[in-house]
Amino acid sequence: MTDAPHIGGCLCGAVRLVAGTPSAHMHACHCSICRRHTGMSQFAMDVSGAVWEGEIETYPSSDFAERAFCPKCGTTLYYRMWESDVHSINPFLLRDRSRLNFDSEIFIDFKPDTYAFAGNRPRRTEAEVLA
Amino acid sequence: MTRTGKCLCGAVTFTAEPFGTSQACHCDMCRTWGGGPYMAVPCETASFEGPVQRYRSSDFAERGFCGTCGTHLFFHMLGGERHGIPIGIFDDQSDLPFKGEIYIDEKPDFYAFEGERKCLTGAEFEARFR
Repeated sequence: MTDAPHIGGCLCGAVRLVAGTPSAHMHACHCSICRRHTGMSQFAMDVSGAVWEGEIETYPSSDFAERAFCPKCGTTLYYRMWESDVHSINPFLLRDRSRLNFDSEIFIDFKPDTYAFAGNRPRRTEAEVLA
Repeated sequence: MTRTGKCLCGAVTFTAEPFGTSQACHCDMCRTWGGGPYMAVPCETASFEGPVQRYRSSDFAERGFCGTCGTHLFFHMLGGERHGIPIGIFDDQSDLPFKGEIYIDEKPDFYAFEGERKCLTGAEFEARFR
């Protein structure tokens, strides 16, 4: 591990996000895979040009995408569709969290009735997301 | 009543004895670990089988995850049998009402859960359960 400037990282510090351009938008995904992976709906933010340092483990969670985590501490790092170079990252990895703009929810038709996020924002179903 | 569950890839399975409710933890470590509040089912006991990886996240607790797919499996306070297991990995997620929020003082302002339930600050939670 180096002391080079970085913009984010995992809980134990073994994986660092050293470069990338975060989107101005953040969403919550309620799909069944996200909820099984970490227990509930996941916040995510698209980052283009993401460069990571450290050992990363990936798991193919479908036939078109993978999920990445730190093998030392298990921190959820990102979701990525194989045909894309955009990494949809866990926004709480970022050191600067002053610009987290929670402005949409997706796969809302998969959300359990037990909880809901307060407030108004676009909430799209699976069909609307995949359209 | 005993419940069962498994990780995303199926390599880790578990049986647990839930107390009967679920709760959300907003602490910075939980959110950094998983990308959101940690929605867990407090369990009196739990037994896991498979490639469980453990990370000592503080001087009093460890977190478990599947070494194959990275699914989060538990938060465990050392020295006891109790485990907080993510509600999303239970085979049957019914009848586990969302009754509490903890470390509410660490919750960012940009999200909140609808509805009212018992909320504890980090200090209140640690005074009661550590």
